[in-house]
Amino acid sequence: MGFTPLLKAFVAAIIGGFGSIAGALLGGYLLGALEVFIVAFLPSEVSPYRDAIVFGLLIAFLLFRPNGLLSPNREVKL
Amino acid sequence: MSRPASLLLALTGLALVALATLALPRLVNDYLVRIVIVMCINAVLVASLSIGNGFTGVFSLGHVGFVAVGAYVSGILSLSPAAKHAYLPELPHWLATLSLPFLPSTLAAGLACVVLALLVGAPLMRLSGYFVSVATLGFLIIVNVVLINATDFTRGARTFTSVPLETTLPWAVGWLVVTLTVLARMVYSPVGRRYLACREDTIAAQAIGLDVLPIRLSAFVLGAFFAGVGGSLYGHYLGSFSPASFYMAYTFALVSMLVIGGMQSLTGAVAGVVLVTLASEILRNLERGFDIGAFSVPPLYGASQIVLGTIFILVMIFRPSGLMGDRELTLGLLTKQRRNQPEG
Repeated sequence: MGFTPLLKAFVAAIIGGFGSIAGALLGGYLLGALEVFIVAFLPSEVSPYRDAIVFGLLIAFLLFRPNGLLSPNREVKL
Repeated sequence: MSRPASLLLALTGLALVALATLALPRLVNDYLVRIVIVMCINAVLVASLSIGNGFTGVFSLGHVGFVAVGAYVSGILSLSPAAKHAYLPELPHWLATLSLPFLPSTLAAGLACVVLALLVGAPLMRLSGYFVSVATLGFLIIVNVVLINATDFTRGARTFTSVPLETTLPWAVGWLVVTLTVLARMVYSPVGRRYLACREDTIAAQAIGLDVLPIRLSAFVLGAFFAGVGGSLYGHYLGSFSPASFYMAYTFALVSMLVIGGMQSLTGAVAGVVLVTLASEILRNLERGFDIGAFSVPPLYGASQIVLGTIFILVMIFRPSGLMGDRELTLGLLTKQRRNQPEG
């Protein structure tokens, strides 16, 4: 119990930018809006895959903008 | 040791293992045999986890995703046509009439995981540190969501059932021997030293001309193959399972076995599995209450989890790199010593 919200919070923090409070706020709102939009506007066959889309987005962020939206894009160190 | 001598020693070891496997069901009861089967399956999974997490330093939390894929792929392939008609009526025609024996479906499960690991690993192996853990955790969640929603193939969140019960003790021990042999040959070879170099210092490894991505990817793919095999063994052992069987709880069970045993040692992986399984079985039986002389301890359901957690914490405090650390228990000689000797 409570594990999925924790993971979602982590996703929001990474999307917004780790270590930035404004980024966490922005990431949280974006993530929430995205989930609602998936359910509201996409065909109903897609909505069960909501979590998969969210975590796919997380992986995309980690790969292409590991510092999140609100911090400068630095070189990824291996 | 000379080559014929080590070959002889290996053959003797194999013969002893085979003898023990055949003798065990005659010596102990069915309950203990089942525990040994589960231990072997978990040892396959934890050893294959150690090659990525321990030796290559890519701490993946998505291993159970591959286990799930292996269990479902082999389950779909080996279900009898009648059972498929009853439980999975929406399957495509070529799959609905297909029913493979145990070994081919297990290999197919491993190969499916190899393909998946290549696709997933190619981008993810660029990440390091806790980023790769989070991303592979995302992979696990995606696998879970897809399994729940691909109802035509997996029955969704309902139990996937009537998989033939094929995982007997010889199969489980046999696959464990194969897994440990292949992984030990890989890890204690020039390839394995590349894994260690990438783990110890990525930048230094690049500086001496190692290409980190393919090295990490090869370890990830090798681990995924045996994860798929282990998943198939587990599926054919349980007979029925659901996506919830292969999720966070199983992930953390496997990771804690690996960490307790020692991440940088195959012996440690096996030792961790044996220790955690035995401890949890013993505690589960004690939980029902027992008598010491005149005292009687009342049943305390749930107490075993607390004791187990405390044991884990104590192990981590007193042996932070696990029980075995990076040492191996080989046939009479320690690998550490062999590493220092010149090749010859």
